[in-house]
Amino acid sequence: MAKINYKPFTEKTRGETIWARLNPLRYTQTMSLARAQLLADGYEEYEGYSFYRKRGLTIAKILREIPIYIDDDQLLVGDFSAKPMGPEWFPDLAATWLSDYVDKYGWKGSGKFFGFESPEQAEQAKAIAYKFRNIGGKEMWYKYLGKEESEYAELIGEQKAWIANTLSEIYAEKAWNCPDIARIVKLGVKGLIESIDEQLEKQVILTDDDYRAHEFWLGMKYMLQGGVDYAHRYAALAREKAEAETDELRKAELLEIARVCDRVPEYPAETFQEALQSFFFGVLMIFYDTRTYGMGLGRVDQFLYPTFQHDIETGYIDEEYATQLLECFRCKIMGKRQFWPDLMTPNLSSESHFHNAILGGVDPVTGRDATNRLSFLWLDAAERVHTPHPTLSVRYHANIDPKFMDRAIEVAALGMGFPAFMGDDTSIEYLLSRGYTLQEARDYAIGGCVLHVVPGKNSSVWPIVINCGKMMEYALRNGYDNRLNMQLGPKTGEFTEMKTYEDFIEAYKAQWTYWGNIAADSNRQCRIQHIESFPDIMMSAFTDDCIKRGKVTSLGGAVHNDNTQYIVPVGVQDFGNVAYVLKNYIFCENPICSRETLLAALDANWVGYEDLQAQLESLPKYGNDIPEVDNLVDEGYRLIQDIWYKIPAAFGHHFEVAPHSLGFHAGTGAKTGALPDGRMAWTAMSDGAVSPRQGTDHEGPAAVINSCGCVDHTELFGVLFNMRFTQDALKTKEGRDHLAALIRTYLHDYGGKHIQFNVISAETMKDAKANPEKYTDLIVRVAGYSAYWTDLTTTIHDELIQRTEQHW
Amino acid sequence: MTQNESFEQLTGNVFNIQRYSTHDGPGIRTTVFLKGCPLRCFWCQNPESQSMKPLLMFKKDRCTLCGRCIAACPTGANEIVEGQMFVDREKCTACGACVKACLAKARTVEGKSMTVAEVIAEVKKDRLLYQNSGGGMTVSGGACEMQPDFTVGLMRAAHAEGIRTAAEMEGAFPWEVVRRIAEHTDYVLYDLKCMDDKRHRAGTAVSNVRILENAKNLVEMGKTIKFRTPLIPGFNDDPDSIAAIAHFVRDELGLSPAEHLELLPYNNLGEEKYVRLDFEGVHPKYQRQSQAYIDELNALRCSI
Repeated sequence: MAKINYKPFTEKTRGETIWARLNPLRYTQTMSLARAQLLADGYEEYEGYSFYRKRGLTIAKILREIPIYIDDDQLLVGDFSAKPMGPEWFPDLAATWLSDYVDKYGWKGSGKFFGFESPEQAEQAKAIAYKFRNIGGKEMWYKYLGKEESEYAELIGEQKAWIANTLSEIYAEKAWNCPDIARIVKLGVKGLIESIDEQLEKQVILTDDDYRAHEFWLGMKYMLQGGVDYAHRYAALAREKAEAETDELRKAELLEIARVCDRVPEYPAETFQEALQSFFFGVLMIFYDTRTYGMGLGRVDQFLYPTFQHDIETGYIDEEYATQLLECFRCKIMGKRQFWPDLMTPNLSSESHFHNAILGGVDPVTGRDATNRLSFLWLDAAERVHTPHPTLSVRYHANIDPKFMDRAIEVAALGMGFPAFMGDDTSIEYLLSRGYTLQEARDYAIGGCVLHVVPGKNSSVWPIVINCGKMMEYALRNGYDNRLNMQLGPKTGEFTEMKTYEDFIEAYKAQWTYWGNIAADSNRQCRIQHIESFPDIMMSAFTDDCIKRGKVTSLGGAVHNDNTQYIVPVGVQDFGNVAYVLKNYIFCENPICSRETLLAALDANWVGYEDLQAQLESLPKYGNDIPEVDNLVDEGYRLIQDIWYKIPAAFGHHFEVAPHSLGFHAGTGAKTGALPDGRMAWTAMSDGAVSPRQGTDHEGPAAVINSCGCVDHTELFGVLFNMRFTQDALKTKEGRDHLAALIRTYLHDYGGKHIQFNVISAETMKDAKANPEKYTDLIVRVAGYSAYWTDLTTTIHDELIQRTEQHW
Repeated sequence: MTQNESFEQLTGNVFNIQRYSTHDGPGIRTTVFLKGCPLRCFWCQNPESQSMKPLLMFKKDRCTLCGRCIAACPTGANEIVEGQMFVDREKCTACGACVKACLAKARTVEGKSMTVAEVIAEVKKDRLLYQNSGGGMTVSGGACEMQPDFTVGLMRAAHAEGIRTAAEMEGAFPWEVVRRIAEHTDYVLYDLKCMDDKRHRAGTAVSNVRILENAKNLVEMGKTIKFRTPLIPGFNDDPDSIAAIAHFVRDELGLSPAEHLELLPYNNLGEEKYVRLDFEGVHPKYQRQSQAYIDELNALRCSI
């Protein structure tokens, strides 16, 4: 093939040019109802078929009929919406809340959230919501529970007591895994359909399971065919645009797009552009089926490398063009918008979809460093177009290419919050302990922000967030909820009558066990209900052994199900601080105050007890390299593991413990009263998994990582750790070398699993809080994800400012 | 008693142990600051380091006037005068009772007696960071030469733990003292403030003759050494002064100023300390040199 021709970009890069046009639409674009309406129509049109087949035909219909367009200067096609930067609505997940939303805010929306284009469109939305009033996932769950139980779920949920997030889970579709979308690149839809046909041909239907498998295969096949047609529509549109195009270079680009879309995703990709385009079509096909919150993109520098290498060697493309394609990919992923109920926003106040792209790591067969030229280009593309998504993570191991490491830190120093660094040592050790083969374990990628999962091996997963703050409160209050004025938890003993620190720990454990069983029960039922109404058929095409077994990932199709259900405990660091106070200053010979006084002070949120609060606050806190406190955080995690490893989850496994607070530390904290470590009521809990409580670490970065290293990460399924550095500290090679040494110490020597950096000054953030209009492009790292400053709530703003700034 | 145990029980006066230091030698280091210095540089950034005695440092802006320190003080050194907390330095013995009592963390005692073993226990905490970054322990001051036995003890104990060492030296001491420390030190940081002895005396209250002689001796001894010049406005930050130092490094020591001499821009981080210590000598309120000017001086240094 001849060398490819493309437009030169001088002043702004191609990605910047595209993004400058799209970014403003983030604030002005209105809702798109294209998918919702086509879904409603499809469900009517195909009524009478089995659910799987109806789903398959309907998603294929969406792919064949949804309006399409091609952005100027874009080299990739396909979109997450019928409107540029518009959100699509998924009434099959949850429907009726949109009617309430329209009634509450009117057709123009709430200001913070999307509006509709007209009153008529708002009415259209209500009509669709009405059609789904009984068959949306959330609606079906409420029906299943009945009035009394759903009221209880609400009571303990995030709007009232905030013990566990019983509600938001049902509004959010599930992924947090990493399908092996790379196989559409390698095999093409053709190859996938062949493996389905193989099953269909040899199948004899004897049981209900056989029948369900049959319908599942057909449904999947329809969706896959829909994906091919979707691509062909873009081929036709690109040709049409090419004909009208006067710029010869753009015309050539459009014709290349047409040629690519003729071939992929139908056939195996041969060029780099085909591979990237095919991969993106795969992402979209899964999106139009189940939206896929938290779906990992996999090892993008690995599976795309063969075509890249081939193109470079044959001279078909140069590295510049490859980088531009990656910039285009970044802009494309940004087109995925989020639209969900108000109740989700205090906890997940950004538009992150947690699509994590993994760079580096080791080769699964040889175990050697897997860094290649493409690993660098992904970083280059991120530097050229500053978009928060897709987020990049670098898999760190002791033999990582130091030049790549330096480049990765250089990009982290730009202040976009990524790349994050993931520790290979304990991540691989964890996977081996859960029954993965060595090759599988070495091939891990990241689902969500920090979950180490193996591409194409895991089912979509089901988390539940638990607020440790409430467990402590109830252990201090004999199960009484002071805020709601009611007995909610079990009676585990009056604090004032406890004899020893161990008595308190027993009460705390008893609260965990009680709420653990309730939350697990809710989680299990919710999960099944969800799969029934919202099966992940398309994702199953990219997960072993769904096709062979004739089952979706989440009903036993996936070969590994160890992590199908897990908990996200929030505030274990706070537990460490509280336990330290109780152990050494309350249950001791000369207590700092009586237990009656302590409870009274907590009740008063320290008003009138300011001295006591100051005394308690000045006691040692986690994060300052004081083993006596740090060990209690470690014990806090072990205690939770002991309880949850006994609670059954799907497929004969137990719940895993995966601490990564996302934004939930703000939401949980807002409903949690004062705690004995001096924490004020209603303030955020500690963030991440091992980060010290905001503003309580005073000893600098060396002390912080030593504290974090005290927490055994091996058994934790994904751990999140945030650190903030000033930008000027990373300007020199020397400064970056120091950071590299810090990362190595934490991830390699201490067996850490994840570290990420907010590289920005507190002054900048204060100014951004005061003048948000000046900072519409400011990106900060919140938890495992980066977000636009303006998309975050003021609680998160305050908390980010407070996170102790690290100098060196 | 083994030989190790004998020096591990030596005590010294330490006023700060700074972990994650990145400007006191190669890699990530823990810097141990010892008290006592014969120099009286008028720009001194660590005035609390000059005397060998512990001193109370009081951050007035943090004080909430709660009065706990008044109750805690055994000598009655604290009192509120006209709505402000006042420390009577005559009465204060820097015993630290008020530090414990203060909830606002407004008070610290600068300087405490520590054994070599105690210091090394703190230094050891970051051994992994030293390994991964090529760092180690730096002993600084004051002037570490004021406590030579203790300094040597620290160096030997660090080496026994497999931790590399550096010393930040003033050099205004008999060669024998400097040599003993240097013998146990892997890396030397050495201040060259001014070549003109008269000016040096005026600015630091000591002569530079011994400093320059010891510099030559250290180089002869084969030590890995980095010379540093703090740029003090109006004292030594003119091109002629810098050129003179660079020439000394090149001609007298036979080293390349580009590689072995570092210029440290002025900073006023020490200013606040004078108020906190109730020191008479007011720190000069200079501005940091402009980046362009620093670049100019560095170009000059590298050209020699």
